[in-house]
Amino acid sequence: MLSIINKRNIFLHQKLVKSLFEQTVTRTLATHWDPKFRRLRKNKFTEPTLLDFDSNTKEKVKRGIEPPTSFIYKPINITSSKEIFDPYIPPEGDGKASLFSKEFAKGAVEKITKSTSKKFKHLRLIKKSDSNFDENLFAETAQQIYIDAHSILSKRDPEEMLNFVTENALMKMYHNMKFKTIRWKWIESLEEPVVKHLVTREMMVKTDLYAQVTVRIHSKQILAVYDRFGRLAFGSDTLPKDVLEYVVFEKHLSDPYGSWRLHDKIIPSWSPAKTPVIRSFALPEPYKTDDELEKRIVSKFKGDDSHLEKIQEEKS
Amino acid sequence: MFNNLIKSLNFLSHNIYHINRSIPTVLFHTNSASFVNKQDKSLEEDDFDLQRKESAKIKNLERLGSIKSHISWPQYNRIIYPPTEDGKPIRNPFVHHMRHFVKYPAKKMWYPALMIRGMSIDEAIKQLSFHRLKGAHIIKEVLLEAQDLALKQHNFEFKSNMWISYSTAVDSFRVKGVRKHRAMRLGMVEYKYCTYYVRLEEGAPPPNYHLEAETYEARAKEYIEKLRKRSIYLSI
Repeated sequence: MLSIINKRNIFLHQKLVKSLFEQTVTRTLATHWDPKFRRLRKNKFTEPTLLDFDSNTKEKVKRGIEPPTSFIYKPINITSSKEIFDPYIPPEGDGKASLFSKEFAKGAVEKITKSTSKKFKHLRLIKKSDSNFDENLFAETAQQIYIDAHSILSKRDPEEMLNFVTENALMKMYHNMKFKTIRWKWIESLEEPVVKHLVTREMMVKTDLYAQVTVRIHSKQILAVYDRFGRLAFGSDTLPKDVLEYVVFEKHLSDPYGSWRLHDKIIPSWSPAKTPVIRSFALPEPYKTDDELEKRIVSKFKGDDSHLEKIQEEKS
Repeated sequence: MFNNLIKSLNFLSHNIYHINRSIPTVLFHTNSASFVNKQDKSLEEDDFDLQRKESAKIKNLERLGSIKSHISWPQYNRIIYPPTEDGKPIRNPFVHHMRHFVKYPAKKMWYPALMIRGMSIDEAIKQLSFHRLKGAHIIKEVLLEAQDLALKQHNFEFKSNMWISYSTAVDSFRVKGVRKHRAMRLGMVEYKYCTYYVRLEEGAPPPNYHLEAETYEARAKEYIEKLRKRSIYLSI
């Protein structure tokens, strides 16, 4: 069973401030014809043990009552990481202009990421677990995994999807799609898929190894998203679109049952804007980030490629 | 301290059973509320115990059927209708919302709930804000929550383009107390709780909600349609 539990909608009863008119109206109802014996009349009644269903935890904490303790232990997943190790920076104008044009030569040189010089060492580590790892072959299998993952989305079965998709990507794909119907079609690929970047990293211990590969996929697709009631919300059922994406695939190398799965997508800032949603809506409030929380979060993966130095020593 | 630990572990087992079911959108307040009053009475029963007992009573009553179950109403929000070729939806889009365990008698709550049926949301909020009963303000809060839900989660477009097609108040449970009369005579006092159910639909309100059919022919048609809609429970 999946370990991801959706947050339940807890409706906080926000007590509205009453106007003066409302206050006076309710006060005039609760009058007795002889209010001077009100306190003696009160003593005739037993105090009932009524339960607080209406108040929030915040108000109770102010009064001095402890908040409830939750004994739900969240499970830990080792099969996937939650980050992209060394993000590949794609060059500008990649899908628009050809290699030999002016626009490309002006400012769009491919920026060198940190660990491109150590590509062959990363490859050697991957080949220890997969002896038959070929870059060109892998690009085609990766494209097939991409097609399978997106075509299974419409079935709303997370356990099937975990064969093609890591837990990190499942959260992002499955979250907003639960109460909608999606129709996705792959028409053709406009260019051959190309492997652009290879990284391996350790997690806390020598023997834990994770590998990530970015693949460039240029294709034609059809996407139509329908509402809970069957109304078109996004896209169209007939018009195809060109899509350029840099997709990250991940594998847990030290796991004997591990396999290459879709992990994440890199969306560059210069990509064209999305088509708008069909229905109009009010913009939500801007999302506030906790700076203190983000400082405390430390990834378990080392930021270096220091585990590669040992390979040369073994060889020599 | 140790007693509290044991009680909390027993509470855990109830909690886990509740989670592994098909996930309800509405949480019982009782499940989240396990408070300990610092001020007094470590020997007597805590609020923790009382909440657990009350929630057990409520669950038993729901199983027997004397209280309407609280989970089935918001589960209608999870139905997914397939897309059509025309583009028009099969069913007018709707949102279900409720509030349970309101400390207010259902008999009084029913009157503003009746008043609202067939109104648009703006008019309902206007009328309720100047109503004399306390229950009307509670209903207003529920309507505003439902409006937010509809806009964010169910893809309703406009805030004021909704109307109310179903609203009732139903009594849920009662707590009994005692009062004293003149001599050694005692009387029973009931503290009543109720739930309030709402359904919002998209669009302008229909012109004749209360006067659906005035002629004899229309009423006869309705009667025949009602009879034909019936189905046998658990039949093929």
